[in-house]
Amino acid sequence: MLGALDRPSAGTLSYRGKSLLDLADPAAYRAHEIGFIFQAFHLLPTFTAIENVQIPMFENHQSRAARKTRALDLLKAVGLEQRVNHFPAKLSGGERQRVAIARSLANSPSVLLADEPTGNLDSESAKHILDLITSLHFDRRMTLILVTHDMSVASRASRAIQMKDGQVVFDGDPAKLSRHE
Amino acid sequence: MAIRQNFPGTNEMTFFDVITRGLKRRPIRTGLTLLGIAVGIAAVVALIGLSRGLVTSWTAGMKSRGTDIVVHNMRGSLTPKPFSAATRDRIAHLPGVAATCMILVDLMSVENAELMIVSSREWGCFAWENLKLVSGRMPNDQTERAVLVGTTAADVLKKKVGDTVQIETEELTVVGIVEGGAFVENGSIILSLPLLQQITGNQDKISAIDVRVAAGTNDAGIRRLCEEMSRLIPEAHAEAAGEHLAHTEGYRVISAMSWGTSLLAILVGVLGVTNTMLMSVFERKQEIAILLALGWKRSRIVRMILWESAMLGLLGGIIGVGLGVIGVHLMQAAPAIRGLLEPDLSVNLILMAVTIAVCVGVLSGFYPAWRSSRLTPSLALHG
Repeated sequence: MLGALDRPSAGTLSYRGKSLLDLADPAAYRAHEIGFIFQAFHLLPTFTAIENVQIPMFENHQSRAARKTRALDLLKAVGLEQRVNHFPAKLSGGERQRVAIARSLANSPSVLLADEPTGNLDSESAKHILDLITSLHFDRRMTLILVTHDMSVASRASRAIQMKDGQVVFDGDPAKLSRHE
Repeated sequence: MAIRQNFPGTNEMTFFDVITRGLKRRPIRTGLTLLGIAVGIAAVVALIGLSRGLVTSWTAGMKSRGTDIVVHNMRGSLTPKPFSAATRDRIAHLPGVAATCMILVDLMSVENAELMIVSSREWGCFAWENLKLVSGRMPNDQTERAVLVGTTAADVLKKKVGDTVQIETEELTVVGIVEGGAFVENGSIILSLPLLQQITGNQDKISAIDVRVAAGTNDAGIRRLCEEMSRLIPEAHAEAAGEHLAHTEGYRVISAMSWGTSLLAILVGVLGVTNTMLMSVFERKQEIAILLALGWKRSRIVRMILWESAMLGLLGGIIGVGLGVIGVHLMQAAPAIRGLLEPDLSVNLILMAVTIAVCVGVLSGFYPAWRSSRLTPSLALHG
């Protein structure tokens, strides 16, 4: 809901003091304020890595050259400078998620929403991806909201909100999360 | 900068790339859809080209004879109805009329040709002047039982000078092979008026009067003369050469049938593209949802689908024009119509066909585009 993908049936939802329910242009909000990282990567299979990263930039009215340069820079930032022209099918799970992360940063969003970003990865790749996301969070000063079932992932956050059956059952220091559970 | 130098082959991506990639993902389906549109457009090009060719080739034939006005009575029927030859005297001396030539023309089955133009002309009139002998000679006089054969007709009938040709029950000698300066003339058998009148039992009857107007007469002058002649010969109509055919019942029927068949073919094309684009939208539901989640506006999704659809139309149109042109040339060589008419494959017709194809594409894309715009971005979270 924070990503304006769906609307709440009740209650309020606001971003920087403005109600998301009253957004005149939710697409523009998604394009410029939110970066999505999905569990299943959701790369477009008919586009190469660099093309996938450029997809969100179409709403930015940048020149073709600027889009390409930005996409190359982002792929370099996630360590994929050698894989820019590969199609998703030719990339490993970890590499795909890196492309997805580069794509989520395309329009320099304020908030990164990561939905189980390591859920489909082996433990080593998961660790690398998590390191990457947290370093981006600090280096680029972006808010990171990460959904996970993995306590070791949750423990790296500065704040944890635990939900059970649609109810918030914990909100606080992740160090206390395991005790609460 | 260093990165860019490392990847000189990396292409900048445009919205157009997104569209073409959408079409390329299912090449067989895209190919079959293109073929569906192409067949429809080929039908438009072939049928409309041939029916228009009927007018243009006859008009060219008349122009090559130097005919400006035709007095005829083809309007109410599919074939010209002969009328009295005496009517010519009512218009021959009108101011602005330079010369007249009585014509009796018929479409007949001649030997191995199912349909052939047999054109008889008043002896010595201007309609003989444009005929250039390729071999042989002109008939000696109007009573000689002789015919001239146009070059295409000679080819179809396999005749040379000295052979005989059978028209109805009469055997006539081919005395010359002629080049008439127009497709219709080259596909005709040409003989003197009294001879054909006698063969067909149309004594003192003609099917047209070709009129040559005085030099310097403009279009308005020709129209005025036509009105005057139509008034003087109420059993027939006078019209500018070429126009007369477009106004006939026969041409209208042919034209309507051509358009009817073409529209059916186009309808099939519309259904084909709609089906393809709908399937494409259903298959790509999640992808479209991802694009929405990544910030694409619904209007951009709609544009993407409409452009894909229009692109199918454009490519199908181009292929269709190619198929149509090839088809027309194959049909032209068919024995039944060889030498009878020349297709009018003008730039206008080709542009019209491609425009129709693009419209078919866009029209077919509306519903799938609307469906795609109804998808919600939250679908991206599934799977």
